[in-house]
Amino acid sequence: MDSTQLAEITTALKYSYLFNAQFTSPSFVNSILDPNHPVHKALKMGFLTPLSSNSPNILIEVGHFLIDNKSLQA
Amino acid sequence: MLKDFLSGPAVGEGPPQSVWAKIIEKIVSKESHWARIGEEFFSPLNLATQFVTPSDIREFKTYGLILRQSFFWGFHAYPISPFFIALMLQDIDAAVSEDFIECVAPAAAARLRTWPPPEIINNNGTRTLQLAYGVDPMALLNSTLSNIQVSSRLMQLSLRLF
Repeated sequence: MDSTQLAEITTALKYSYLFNAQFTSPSFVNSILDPNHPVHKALKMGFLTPLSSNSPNILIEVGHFLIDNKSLQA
Repeated sequence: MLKDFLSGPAVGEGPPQSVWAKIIEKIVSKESHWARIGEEFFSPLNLATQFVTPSDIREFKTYGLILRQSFFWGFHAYPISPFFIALMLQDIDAAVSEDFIECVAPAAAARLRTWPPPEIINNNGTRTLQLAYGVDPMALLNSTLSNIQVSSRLMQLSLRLF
């Protein structure tokens, strides 16, 4: 088993374990991770609905802050 | 105003947070939209595009809005998966980075770290992965491969592993 195959399985394990993803191709395209899927679009649309004219940018900044500071604790 | 509505006559952050937690709990209980992942989190289900109805779209938009509101109010969104939230906030690389997994789900990080297993050299000189039934990473493979509609290539890889 070469490093590419190992990496493919690593990705499959991560996506499956963390997202309950159902893979249909070696490129691991699935509905939640596909930004063009209607469910993904709807979730994102709700997530980014502006509270005011400038709030989408604020939300994205908040997201980056949370991730950069590793403080997104459940 | 909505926060006041959630609080009712009560004072402080506790009551609206409790009501919000119940709302999130109610959301993830819809089995046609959410699935439990691992031990504790819930993530949206992968619905086949052709089966997504306008009603589903409205509900998923609402889930997104409720998640957004949780952040603005500083309320937790547990048990909605932090990996899914990171995907919404940033991208897949951020959501599956080792540092992030270690931070939000140390037990999951420990399990995932067991892959790849060490290689062993057989008597005939060939190399194979050291996999034992019942322990990670074999147990991890068994538990996750059932979720995977394997491609022929991945199936081939899996068979070689087993």
